[in-house]
Amino acid sequence: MPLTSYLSLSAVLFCLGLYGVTTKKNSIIVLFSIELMLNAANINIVSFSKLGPYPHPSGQVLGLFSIAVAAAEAAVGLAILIALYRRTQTVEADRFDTLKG
Amino acid sequence: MNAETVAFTILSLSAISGAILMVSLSRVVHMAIALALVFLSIAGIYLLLSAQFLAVIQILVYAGGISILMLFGIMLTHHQLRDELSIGKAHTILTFSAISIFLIILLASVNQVPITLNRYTEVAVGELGKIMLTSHVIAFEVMSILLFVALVGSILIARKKVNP
Repeated sequence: MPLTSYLSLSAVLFCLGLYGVTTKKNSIIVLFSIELMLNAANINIVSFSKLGPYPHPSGQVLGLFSIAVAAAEAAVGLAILIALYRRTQTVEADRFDTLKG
Repeated sequence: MNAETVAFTILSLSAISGAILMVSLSRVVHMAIALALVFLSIAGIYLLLSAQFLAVIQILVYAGGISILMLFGIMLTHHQLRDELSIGKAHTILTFSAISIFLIILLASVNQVPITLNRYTEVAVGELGKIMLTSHVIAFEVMSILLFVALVGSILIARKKVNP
């Protein structure tokens, strides 16, 4: 398969994740969509590591690191959500308006 | 049509349909399951890109770990288990059209990527480990510190406050 098809797949997945981030109110779903966007970026990294102009296995190592960072992000994000839920009894993103003037 | 094309078509269709299901379903638990389907298909895409180790890690971390973590998050926080929408209709339509334009621009620019002939030699997992622990060893160690700090920090954030 050419590089273009992998890049197109990742573009479509990224846009679906972006749609989820911007339209959903439930913060857990926003976290889901962020994970989807990270995965789309990761497909790009790995496909360039095989099919790019200068193929090298270092791209796979970069993808591995990005998976680790995404896992850490998911854990911290969920912890913040649980702490917020304990304070406000909701996960709706537009109810977190304590800083509103 | 060779086997790789067929496999890519099936995997990408299942990934995209899982993602569409995720943004359109109404029950949050079903969304988590659709997201697990997307993660599994992306693991298959990694296999096609001859990144076997990454595919296994994807299944382990995403399909196994993060999906279960998200399910825990849903169970711990959400009572009615529904994503009751939502923002106004105008907002949805505006966002949808903006993202469609963005997608069209992305696809148009992706199609200008030159097709290069290259000689990629498949690497075994051992070779990958050697690369990771020789030329990328500093990033590897920083990563371990990051994971440690993130996990301890998330426990600190999420635990119940005891009265001082």
